[in-house]
Amino acid sequence: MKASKFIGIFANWFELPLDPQVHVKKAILEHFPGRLQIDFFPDADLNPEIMRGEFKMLKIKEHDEWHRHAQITVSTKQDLKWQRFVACKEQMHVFDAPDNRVSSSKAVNTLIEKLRQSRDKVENLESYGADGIPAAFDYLAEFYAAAVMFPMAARNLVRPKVDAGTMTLDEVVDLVGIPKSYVEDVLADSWPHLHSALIRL
Amino acid sequence: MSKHGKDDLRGSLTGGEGMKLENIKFFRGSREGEISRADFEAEVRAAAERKKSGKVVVGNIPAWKDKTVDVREVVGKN
Repeated sequence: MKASKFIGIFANWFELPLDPQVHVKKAILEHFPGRLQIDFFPDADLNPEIMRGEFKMLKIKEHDEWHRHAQITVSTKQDLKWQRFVACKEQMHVFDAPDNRVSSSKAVNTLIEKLRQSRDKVENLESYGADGIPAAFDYLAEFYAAAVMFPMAARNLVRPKVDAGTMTLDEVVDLVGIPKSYVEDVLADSWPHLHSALIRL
Repeated sequence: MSKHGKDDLRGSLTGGEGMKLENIKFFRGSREGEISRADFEAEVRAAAERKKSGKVVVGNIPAWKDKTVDVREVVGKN
């Protein structure tokens, strides 16, 4: 399964807030082809100004059989809304296509080189170049996570209430439990179009 | 950075014997402007070391709410 298909699972979800370590993990394990273990590592020393979190997929050989172990590291030096969002975003990489995976020394260094640039450059996908596709998907995974944590069905119910002024943005953030900037992205007029594009990727 | 230094970084990310690194990704931090390569690499290495040493172990981040609510009911009240 691809991440694009995975977000479709949550498109009609109405129960909020979603828990990335319960609902999202459970759905991934149900749809991942093969043996997979997902563990979370809350890290109180990880500097969220440099790195909010990390995804690592290890292939482990046991009794002549390979299985996969996804290790999700989350900085606990950041707001809980961010911790939850990072935990979801990093899980999206379980579905990374082989072309988007990073494992060689060269690819790791290229990824770091792309991501350490200023945020406006990270957000400019056209600047990535041919060797920057894994880094581009690293950024795109934020949108996949937003689509999962704030499902389309819930968004479509909430948006008219926000427009009518009977629900505030802060109330929506409290309902969803992810950073305000991503809630604003999902509530934006452009989101349905972007959501459709993400599903088609 | 020397080739040796870069290889060390990759080496610090593997899980040890019988394990292969299949994929690694990062969530860039909030720092405005460029993050120096040295700072980024140091954070990657330190995070790996904390896991290897057992200082950082498997755990959970707190739940946002004790219970979920049905958004259809929430908007019905607004």
